[in-house]
Amino acid sequence: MKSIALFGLTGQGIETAGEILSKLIESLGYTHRNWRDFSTIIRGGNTSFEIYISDQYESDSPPRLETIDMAVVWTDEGVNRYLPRLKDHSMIFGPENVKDIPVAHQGKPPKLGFNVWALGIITGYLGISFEKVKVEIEHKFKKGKNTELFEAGYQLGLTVACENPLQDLSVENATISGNDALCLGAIAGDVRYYYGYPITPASEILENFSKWLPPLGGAVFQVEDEIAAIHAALGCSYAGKRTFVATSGPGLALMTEGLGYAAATEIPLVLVDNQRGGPSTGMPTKTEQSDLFHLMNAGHGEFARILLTPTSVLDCIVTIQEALNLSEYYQCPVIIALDLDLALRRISIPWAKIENAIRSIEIDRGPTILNETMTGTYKRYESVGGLPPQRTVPGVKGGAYVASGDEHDERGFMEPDFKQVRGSLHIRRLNKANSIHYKRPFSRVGNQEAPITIIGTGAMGELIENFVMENGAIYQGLLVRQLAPLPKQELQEALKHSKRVVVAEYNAKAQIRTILEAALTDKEVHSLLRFDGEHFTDQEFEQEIAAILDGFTSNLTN
Amino acid sequence: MVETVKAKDFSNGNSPTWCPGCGDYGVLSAIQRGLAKLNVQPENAVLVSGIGCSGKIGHYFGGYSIHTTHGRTLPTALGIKSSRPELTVIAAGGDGDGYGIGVGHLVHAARRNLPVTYIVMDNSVYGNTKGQTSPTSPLGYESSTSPTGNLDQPINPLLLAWSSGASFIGQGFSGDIKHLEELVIRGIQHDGFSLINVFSPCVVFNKAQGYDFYKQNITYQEQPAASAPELVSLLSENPFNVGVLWEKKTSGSRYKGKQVVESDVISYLKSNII
Repeated sequence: MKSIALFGLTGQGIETAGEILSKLIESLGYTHRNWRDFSTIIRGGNTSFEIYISDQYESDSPPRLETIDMAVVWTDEGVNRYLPRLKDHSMIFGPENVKDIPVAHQGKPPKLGFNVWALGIITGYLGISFEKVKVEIEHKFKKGKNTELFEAGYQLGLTVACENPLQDLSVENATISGNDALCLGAIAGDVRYYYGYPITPASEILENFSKWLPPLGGAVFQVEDEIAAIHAALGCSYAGKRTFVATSGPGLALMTEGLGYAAATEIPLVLVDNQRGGPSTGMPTKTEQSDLFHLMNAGHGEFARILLTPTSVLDCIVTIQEALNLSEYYQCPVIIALDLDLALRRISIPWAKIENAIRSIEIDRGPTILNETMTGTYKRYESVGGLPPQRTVPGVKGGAYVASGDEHDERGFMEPDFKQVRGSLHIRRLNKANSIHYKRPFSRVGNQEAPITIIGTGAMGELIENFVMENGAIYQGLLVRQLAPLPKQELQEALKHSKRVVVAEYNAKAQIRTILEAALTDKEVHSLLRFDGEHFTDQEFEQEIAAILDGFTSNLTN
Repeated sequence: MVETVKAKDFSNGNSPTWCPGCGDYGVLSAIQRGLAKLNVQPENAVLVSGIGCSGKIGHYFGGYSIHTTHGRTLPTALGIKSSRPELTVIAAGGDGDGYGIGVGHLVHAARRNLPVTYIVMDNSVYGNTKGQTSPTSPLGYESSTSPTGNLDQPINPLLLAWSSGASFIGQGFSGDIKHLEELVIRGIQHDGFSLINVFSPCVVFNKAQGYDFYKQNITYQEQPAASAPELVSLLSENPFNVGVLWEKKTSGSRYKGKQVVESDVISYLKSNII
């Protein structure tokens, strides 16, 4: 594992240098993860880019690592931030006027050009071929001065060349974010139409589809607000085509109108919420898992819903396909909650893994009638044998009906005998997702008979997985994916050997713990909470767990 | 043998619960007759309705119908028409639905110019909630929410739509179904967004603007305005002009049946991310 940091000012092309570095490492076939200090890009000021590279291509991408092997910084602030995190305190590079930089690691890069110089140092250190990097740099920047800066940096990097230089692993890698993963899965799940409104951190989905869907015969609309987005999606779904909506907290507030409507009319709907720091505009560029209470209950009146939380980037590809199938079978809102870190995290992994995930789920339209001719009197909201009703789409002869948000009878007509329909249709609609056929309510890692289980989801997934793998047999990791309906029995079974449970989540009110409560009644439950918008590094996470379990784990080992 | 579609094929047997004399009966009838004349098969027509008395129209329509939330007919119609361009899509709602809570969508639907026919049943009152002032109520209009008379300038929906880029603007009167039917046909035939504002009296809560009022005030226009200044003067000098008032030849074809150029989805996705 290798970890490198680059720190400078916004406008210095730190991000561009990071992208070039990531692309080079991707082309060599190394699994890796990028991290950037996203907030400062909007504000102006300092910005940083970190990259964590895995030595073995088989492994999943590394979590956010605390220990940094080398850092290239532009200012004293960069030294303050990275010196404490360096494994070897001499492995810091920067301009000669910056404090605490070893003389041999100083240089004279200009303000604009620092990024190219830094890229030289980093690639020299990593042992990436000089020519290979030079081609990339000359492709992106003007030749001449930039080439000289790169060469100077590269020579400096060679003086500290790492022991295991990167080689060409001949693995075909691809770099994707959680948002990219959702798009890939959705397209595999036959989504060809998309209606969206820009919002951090979900805009990437709208941007991807704007490029990707038209050549597939689809269409994308940037609509006027999230109310329009969800209603357009409902129109599309009513018309028999697959789509979904994606937003973040403030957009979710507007979409809540359509959520209840989808439930009342039983029009299939998948809604993605990329959670960011709230309430209100909150912290648009910071991660949080604090919309879960809202997602569990959003909408007036009472109705059924399914809430899923993907546990990794790859998992997003699979989960959205499952969600599309579930929504057409149960005909109720299926919500997928990510958090900002998972949505924007960029990881580079073998394409073969991505393709496996894309191909892992078959499209299942459930009781949707697309082509047949209906005979007799079709009743859209009639359930036979407790199964979900058949749903026709426009074009189906004899299948015309009215979908109405007004309470209605089995044909869909409003102003029915309320007493009758509230006892039949409403009850069916209310209870239809009390338990669902879903094969992956959670994933388990580590020792399934361990006395301690760490539970979490979303961005926390990689940290739990890494922690459990590093810390041995007394831990089980449980990455929960199905929050509603609660998979109570399955959870109790998976936790039967654990006396203690730590629920790790990015919010202040222990929302995941509260949602899972009924499955944790006989456990000693601890909460690990964080809500400053930052994602833990591996070490921070380990320290937090150690502090919570202080005493208990030493008893176990004694 | 192709069966000829009849107006009654667009009935579903469900009896309207509108008040006797409600203008919305005439609008429903004009839509049914217009679609039949165009020989649209009922299963290929979708009526998208909003909230209010007018929103009930979908429950009496023999084709497919979706009765949406308040003000959201146009976004819903967008979702249907963009994904199924072969369908005939009509959106229908009231003045509160379309010019009050949903007015933002009107602006964008006009800009987008998707071939959707939007019929607004304008009675200048919130009838379903028993007679409050609406966005098209005249100045001085007395109601439970403006007991001393309406102080807000009424909206001019047709000028608003025009300034947003609407390519077809018509106005009709539910007391003249024959004329209205022709407007509906012209709107559906128009290859782009069409707005048809219909004076559709509420005989219970807005007695001042009943059938007699409109009969006395409407002026039939045989030809659409030839220029922008002409339209502006038509609409600002007499808000009761009826007929096709603006028609600009456009093509909504950018939304019709997009060519699939990539058939191997997995390879295509791969090429997009590597």
